[in-house]
Amino acid sequence: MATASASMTGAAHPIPACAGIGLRAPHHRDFLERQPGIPWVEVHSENFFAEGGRQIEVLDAVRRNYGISLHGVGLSIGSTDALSRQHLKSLKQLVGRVQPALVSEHLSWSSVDDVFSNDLLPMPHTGEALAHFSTRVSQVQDFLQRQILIENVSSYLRFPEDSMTEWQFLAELAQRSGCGILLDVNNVYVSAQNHRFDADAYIAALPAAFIQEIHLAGHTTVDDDDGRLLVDTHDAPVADPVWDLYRRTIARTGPLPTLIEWDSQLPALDRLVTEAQHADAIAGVRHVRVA
Amino acid sequence: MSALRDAQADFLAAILGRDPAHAARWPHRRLAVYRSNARENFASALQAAFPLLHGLMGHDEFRAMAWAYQQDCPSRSGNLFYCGAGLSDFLAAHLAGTPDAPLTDISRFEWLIQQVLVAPDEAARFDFRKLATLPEAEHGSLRFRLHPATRLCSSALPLFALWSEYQHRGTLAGMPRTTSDGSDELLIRRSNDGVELHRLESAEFRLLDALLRGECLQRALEQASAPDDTSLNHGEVLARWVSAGVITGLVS
Repeated sequence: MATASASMTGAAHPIPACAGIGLRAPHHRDFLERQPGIPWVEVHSENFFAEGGRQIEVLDAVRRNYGISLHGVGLSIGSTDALSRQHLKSLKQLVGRVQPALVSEHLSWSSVDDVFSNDLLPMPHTGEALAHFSTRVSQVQDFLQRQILIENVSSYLRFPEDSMTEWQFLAELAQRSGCGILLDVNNVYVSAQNHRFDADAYIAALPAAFIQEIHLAGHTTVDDDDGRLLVDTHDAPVADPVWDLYRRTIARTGPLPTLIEWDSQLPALDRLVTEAQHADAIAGVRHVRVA
Repeated sequence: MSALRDAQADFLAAILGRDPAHAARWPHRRLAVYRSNARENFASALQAAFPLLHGLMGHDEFRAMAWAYQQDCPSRSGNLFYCGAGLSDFLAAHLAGTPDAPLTDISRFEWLIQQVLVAPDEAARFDFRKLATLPEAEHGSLRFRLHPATRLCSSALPLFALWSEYQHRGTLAGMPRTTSDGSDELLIRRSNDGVELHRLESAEFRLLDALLRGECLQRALEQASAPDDTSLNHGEVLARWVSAGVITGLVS
């Protein structure tokens, strides 16, 4: 078993190539009191856009001992609306304050004419959409003066206009914009089941050098019009087939910062830490945090 | 940009719109996931920001209200925090003259709390030396700066009692009645782990309200004064709120 080394530098605390957890508000107090033995956490950027108050104090306290990844859910990069200057300014202010090792957004859009669904909607996979998304990622990176990672989302529908696969879109996006890839293995599995493509082929087609973080989460199965549909709900343990796909992914990429995401029906903090330890065991890494 | 925008506009109309023609272009159950996400994300954000309103209305009625509100006032930001900004106006327009009209005051109160929770931090830097050097004749022209995480709220409802009940029990007994002794006049400020409320006398409320609006001390005292408030000791009031960190300085 190897000891993970720091893979992200320049931040207040680097993020090593092992597992962390998504830190959500119901766990804040418990987390600060118990200081669990994981090296890093990821938080949703928008939850810390406040100019002051308890949330910011919590993040300041956490970042003293843990690596931080900022994960945005509301920038709507793929929208044809103008990028929100206020949203970008808030994000830049937060990045400046937290000095995160990683900053990520989604391969998605949320608004038309400034009306938002506040969901991660799938992009049409067309040449026009790819050019648009690449330009917008470059704009965001220029504004923040740093690289961001883009995460693949789960999808339940495809656009009839699609002219390429999602993995072709994502790989080309990384090449054009210089963004990194946040590979959500659960999302690949969910979309592969829903759209009947080969999850391993998806991951094999991505340039491994661009993949800088992995997400793992739970999903739910519901009835579909013609069978079953997997829904990315983040309310359950990581499913066994997703663990298997994760195992095959890191066999190709090597160990990477890997996040356990759990957002709904949150279990006790220990449960998340146990999931993170399981990811480390699969990756063959261990992390010893020095207090 | 037209083809991409058209595709997204069509999809968003199918998710948020009422026109079944848009939704009919997509597989029903798969589209339903996105429609459900849009509604649930919006309603859950509102529920987190308006716990008293949720408690008083009950879960099902609150959700129905949230979705009606979303149709009238859809989210205009990628940050769901802001989706509650127009709720008071929405309720005022729809509940006026009904037995549920008091819910408008509850929503206004809870949105003020949300503003307090996210307001900037500010260290008190009251310049007592400057105050001491000012001739007494100039005191009336002073303007005071209140901490950004401070709001005032006046209501005919017993907001303080409702808030306290919810903090202690996590539930509410039922729709509040108006107070028998006039309005509940509150100062809301941020505390270490949330907010704290202070009930104020009417004259004190009016004084602080005027100062918060940027009035000079003389004008604020004029607005605070009333025949029944002759006992207002403004020196004591100002000293108390300076000491508490609510009045943080002088506006230069």
